[in-house]
Amino acid sequence: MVSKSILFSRIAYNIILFVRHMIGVVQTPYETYRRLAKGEHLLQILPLLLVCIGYFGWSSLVHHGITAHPYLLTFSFGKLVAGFIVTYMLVVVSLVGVGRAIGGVGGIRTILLPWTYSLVPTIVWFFATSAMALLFPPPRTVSILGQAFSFLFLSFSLFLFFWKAILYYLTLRFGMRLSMGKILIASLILFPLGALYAVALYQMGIFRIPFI
Amino acid sequence: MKQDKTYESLVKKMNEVSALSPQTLGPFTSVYRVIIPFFKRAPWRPLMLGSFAVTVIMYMLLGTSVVIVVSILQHGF
Repeated sequence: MVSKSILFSRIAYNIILFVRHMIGVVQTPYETYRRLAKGEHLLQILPLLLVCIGYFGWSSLVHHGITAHPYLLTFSFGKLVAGFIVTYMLVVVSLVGVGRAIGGVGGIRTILLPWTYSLVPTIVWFFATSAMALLFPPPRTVSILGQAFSFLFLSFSLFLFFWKAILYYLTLRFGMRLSMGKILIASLILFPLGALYAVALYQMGIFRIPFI
Repeated sequence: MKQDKTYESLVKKMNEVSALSPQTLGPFTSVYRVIIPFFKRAPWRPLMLGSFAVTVIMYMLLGTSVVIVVSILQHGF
């Protein structure tokens, strides 16, 4: 049985790793992803997954309002969390499966941390968009203020999208040891499947934009 | 025997770096090697410039219709 002090030090160590890697994902993603792809200290993904779950609670409140029936809020929250868990597992398995099929070396362990940290731009976008939807509810108009907001929002979204693209590339590069050519081939297989899956999620009313 | 920590960390670093063969992109390899260092440290700087440039291009292509795109995106969370 693991003693309390060992358990505490393990938790503290993983929290420190989490903070270091969060800074690394912003400042030095290449170096950080090299380390993450070793697949060590998997517990560090827990804070990130908790933030995701926190977002789904927040999102349910923003969608239905704080005065909505608790049953409705719980149902909405449960649906989002279930959708996220299934999507997360499917993406990890697909990355490993397709990566191996085209000659990559790696497994769930080497992909798990890099892919989880690539959720950082996703979380930032979803949190920011939901907050902005509260402060500046859509639709936007063609007034000067509407256009200025649109410009900023689009720049911000594209910035996060490109950041996500880099992290996706690094996930396959270091997690599966693929070359650029093979990453392009993997993307040609994964993106159409992802698009079909996104349509399915939309039709089921889980995510309008998939939480990937 | 006293262990040389510097040597050990150097070997560790070399093993880490050499675990993957260098990226090649055929005729574009030299371009890749010029561009990629900008993304290795603080990639948010070139990304900010890039996203700003793409937004300007989108404005030039779509004009004020960009607000429709933004309205759709704002419903996406």
